[in-house]
Amino acid sequence: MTTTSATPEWAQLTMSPDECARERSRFRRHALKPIIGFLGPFLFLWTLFLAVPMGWATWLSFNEGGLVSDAKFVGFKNWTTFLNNDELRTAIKNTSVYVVVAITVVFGLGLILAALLNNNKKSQNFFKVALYFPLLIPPIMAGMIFFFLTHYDMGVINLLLQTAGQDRVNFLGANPNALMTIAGLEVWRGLGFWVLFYLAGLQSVPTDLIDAGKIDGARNTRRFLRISLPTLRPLMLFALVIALIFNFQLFDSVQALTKGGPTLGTTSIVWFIYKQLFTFQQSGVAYATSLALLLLVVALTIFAYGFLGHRKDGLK
Amino acid sequence: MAEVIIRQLTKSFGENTVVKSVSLKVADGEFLVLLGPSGCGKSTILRLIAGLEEATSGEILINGKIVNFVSPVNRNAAFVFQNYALYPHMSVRKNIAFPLATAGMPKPAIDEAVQDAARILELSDLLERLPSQLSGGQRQRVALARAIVRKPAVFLMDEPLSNLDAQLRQQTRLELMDLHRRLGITTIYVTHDQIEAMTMGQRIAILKDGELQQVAPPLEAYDQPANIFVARFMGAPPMNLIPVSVSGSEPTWSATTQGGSIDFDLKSVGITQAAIGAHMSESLQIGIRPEHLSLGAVGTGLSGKVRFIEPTGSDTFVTVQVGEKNVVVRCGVNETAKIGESVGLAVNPAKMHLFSADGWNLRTK
Amino acid sequence: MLGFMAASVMVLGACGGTDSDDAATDDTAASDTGSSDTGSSDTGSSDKPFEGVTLKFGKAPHGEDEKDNWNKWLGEFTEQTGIKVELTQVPWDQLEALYTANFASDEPYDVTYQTSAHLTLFGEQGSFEDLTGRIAGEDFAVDRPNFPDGVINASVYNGKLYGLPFVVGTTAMFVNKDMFTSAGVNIPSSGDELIKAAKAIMKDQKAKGNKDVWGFYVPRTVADYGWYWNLSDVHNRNGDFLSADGKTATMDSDAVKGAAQYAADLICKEKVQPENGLYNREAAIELFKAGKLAMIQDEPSRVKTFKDEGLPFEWDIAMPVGYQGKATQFATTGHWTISAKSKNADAAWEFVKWLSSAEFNSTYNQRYGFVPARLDADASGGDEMLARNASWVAVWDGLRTSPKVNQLLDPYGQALEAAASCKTSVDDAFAKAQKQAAEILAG
Repeated sequence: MTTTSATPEWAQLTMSPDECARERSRFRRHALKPIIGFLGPFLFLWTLFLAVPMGWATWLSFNEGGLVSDAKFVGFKNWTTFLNNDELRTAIKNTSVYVVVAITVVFGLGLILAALLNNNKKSQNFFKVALYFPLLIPPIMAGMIFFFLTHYDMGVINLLLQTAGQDRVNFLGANPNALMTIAGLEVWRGLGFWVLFYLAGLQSVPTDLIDAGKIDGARNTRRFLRISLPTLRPLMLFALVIALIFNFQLFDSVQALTKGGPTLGTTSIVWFIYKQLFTFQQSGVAYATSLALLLLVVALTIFAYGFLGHRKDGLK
Repeated sequence: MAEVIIRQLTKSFGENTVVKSVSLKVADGEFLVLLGPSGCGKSTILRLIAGLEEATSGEILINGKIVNFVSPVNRNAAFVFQNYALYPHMSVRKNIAFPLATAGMPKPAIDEAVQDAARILELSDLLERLPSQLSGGQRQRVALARAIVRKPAVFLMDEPLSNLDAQLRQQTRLELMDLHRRLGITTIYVTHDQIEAMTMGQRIAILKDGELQQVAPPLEAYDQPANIFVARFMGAPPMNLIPVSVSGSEPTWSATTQGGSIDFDLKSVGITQAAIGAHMSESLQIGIRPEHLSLGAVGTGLSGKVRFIEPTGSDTFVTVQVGEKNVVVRCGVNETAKIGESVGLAVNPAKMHLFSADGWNLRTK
Repeated sequence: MLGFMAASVMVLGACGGTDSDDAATDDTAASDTGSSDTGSSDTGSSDKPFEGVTLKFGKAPHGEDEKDNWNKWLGEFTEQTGIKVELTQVPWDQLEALYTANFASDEPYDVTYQTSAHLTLFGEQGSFEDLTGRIAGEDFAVDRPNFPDGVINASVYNGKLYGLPFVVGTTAMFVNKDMFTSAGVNIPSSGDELIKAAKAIMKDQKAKGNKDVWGFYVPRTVADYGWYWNLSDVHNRNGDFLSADGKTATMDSDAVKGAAQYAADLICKEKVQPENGLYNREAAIELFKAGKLAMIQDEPSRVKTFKDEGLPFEWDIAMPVGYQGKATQFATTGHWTISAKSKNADAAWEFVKWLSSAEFNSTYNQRYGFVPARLDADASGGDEMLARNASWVAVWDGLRTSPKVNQLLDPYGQALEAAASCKTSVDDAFAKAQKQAAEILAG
């Protein structure tokens, strides 16, 4: 075999390097057009509904007024006010306790129920609906069911306690009962969602891995803890971040049930913000606190991904 | 070391019966291949033996004990999965150690066993890696290491090579055979690849639609297929089948088709007079492998027209249309036949099979 | 969510226990404008100078039937004046949020109903027109003498009148007369008598086998606006939580602490009132209706409700107990405001005059049981209880106000709740409240 040493005439390049560069950038610009077209609407909405309000909120956090009345620049006053506020400290403590309790309980129960359901294929559909039920029923009815359960005189729980010769529980009028009751309510409402979420996760664990575990002698619990659970880790990380973001915004049930009481025992960060913004008309303090909450949640998210998400096995 | 026996094993999923009364005996230390097309129930049989599925009826014995109602781990059978089923979050070391740790073995003993297994499978340098950092062949070896580390009585392998590329598959095949030769563990190996079955199995059990067709050493299954299914499944290109009508009487018989006729005597095709007498009136087929045919001048035996010529480098396969059937002939690389040319086909009657209308080989061993 | 439990409604000013409906614009009234065209055709535009104008009207409801009533009332107004009115019902528990958004917009409600605290809160931010000039005008000359100066002046802040007083709130003590008769005690008029009566009733009921009967209830929690129900006792003790000029907090005064101590004692020491937070306001009303509570302080709007429902025992209303011979009434005032940004301010003034008329005031209060701010309105409509309630306005003492009043009432309410929870001393709780209040006023 001989190799050709000289390039034949038909194989000579005809474009100069300059021409080539020019054509390349023209081609890339052209390729960019549809990208702008696709991203444009998103960027527009993002600017309109996120960037602009965020910028406005940041500006107002350095002002007094600005909503109903005219804004008056006050520098860092709002920021120092809220940082020195005892009630906010209580709110941060309450919210943190709530977040830890609610997420631990709802994830724990959710995983356990999902694991039980996963092992019991026949009754799965019934329990799926049953557990999802609290999310489907209208809020008014949810309130009635809750009332029916927790009322001091007529509530099922207290009637059972009384029958068993125990003291009745003051669910919303004492601390820390009130915060735990709210956590319980939110767990009750969210449980179905997380059970379905984890059930879907468990069902996506490859059957071969479970079979391998059986062959290797791992019984149910060990198989769940050592094989299924680690496989679910990326999913759980995502779930944790979502749950953190949602639960740090605890507000609805506080407003409906306790108005932050008794003795600030259920005052959450968002309830604090709501009071500052509307009841007290202290919009600057409210915006400063909101931005701080946003930074806190962002920091927690980064922490969750950076610390808990650190992994080497390539499962993303 | 253990013998595996299954007796009249049946497995149904609802209405669908995927294993139909299969009985099989695997000797201690034997390498048995379960061969069949996908959906034939071979993997299910393996999973039944492992204890991953519960039998609908029938018995499974390992080492003389009925294990139908024994949990997988206590059957002392190791399973190698098609996609390896390595625990993705555990290092190679932890993967291999997992069955021992589960069994509660003390840590120094685990370390030693893991080292041994890793040495045997040449994984010693990879122990701290995660499965995602390994190549397909390396993962396969980790799966094998995890299987051998507990010194199982039986190895159950479910198409362990099918995820590897062709070259690696051939190499790993040799390694597996070597491993079996060294450890001498009873192995049941599931595959749909007849080359794997032929090269690896001491015996092959061929399955179709959940029913056992034939159990035999590879060459016997190839040379003496029990029925048309086995005959066609073993060998590439598959055995040629030509419908014939048989006539004649001792000592000379004649099988006639559209392209001519073949004379044979019963002794050389291994058929009893009683057998041919019983089936003569049926629409019979002769079966003949491509290598037992040769091209010649028109007028000898069968004749037909050349349709295709496929040189493979070592052989040339020539397809000849005989009557309405295409018949493949294995020729030397220097074959000079041309497409469209009329040729004669010489048949080696001693290598010919005669199949009854319901597909069974009339040949008695 | 949980609208059911939100039934413990905000009590700021005169507002009854009513479920918070979603804000819903109602334009039924505006739709039957045809009648205004067919009215007296010979009178020219001078008779209906605002013919064709549409006003936006925001109001939080005092009863579930209010929307239907407004449809009727506003129809009459439109027929008389040719002005259309679109009503939006603002739920009490979202009131501040919705008004904030509304007043921040370019087209706020032309006319709203505001309680004392919100009047100053939004008024000082420039949301409402100062009505001082309008009530001095010729067109109001006939009406003006019917509004007592004291009532008008209580609503003036910094020399500005941001709303025309409509109703004055009162608090009634509802009593289960059967229980009093059974225990052989009289309806109390002092704090000490209340404790004695409550104990006697509880003992009597227990002897009769009704063990879960309580003597007294009034909300002491922040959620049910504990400060609102407690301020009359502070006034009885000749004090207040804020100086008259609104510049100095007096949360640690003897009057405030004395009233709080009495409130805490009822629960913690005398145990005649259920543990704080065990029953919220609505749950306690249910207890009273079920015959498990001898005395409960609430708004007189319940009079009509109880009468309509028909309670299974003899009951009455009484003046809440006094202190050392002095008994006052406290509640906030309800006002009609005109938005500073209103494009139809003059038409809005016509509407406010109509709303403030003796005739409408009588109609409204005969249904909702408040005390009219003007003297020539008849709030009772012949009802003896409502007439008695209306008479209490003679000892009425309103809310000292400031744009920071909501902020100041929060530590006050928190301190009262803390003291009533029996875990914090009154001194500690109100020392903290005083410190917080001072910071708020300084900030």
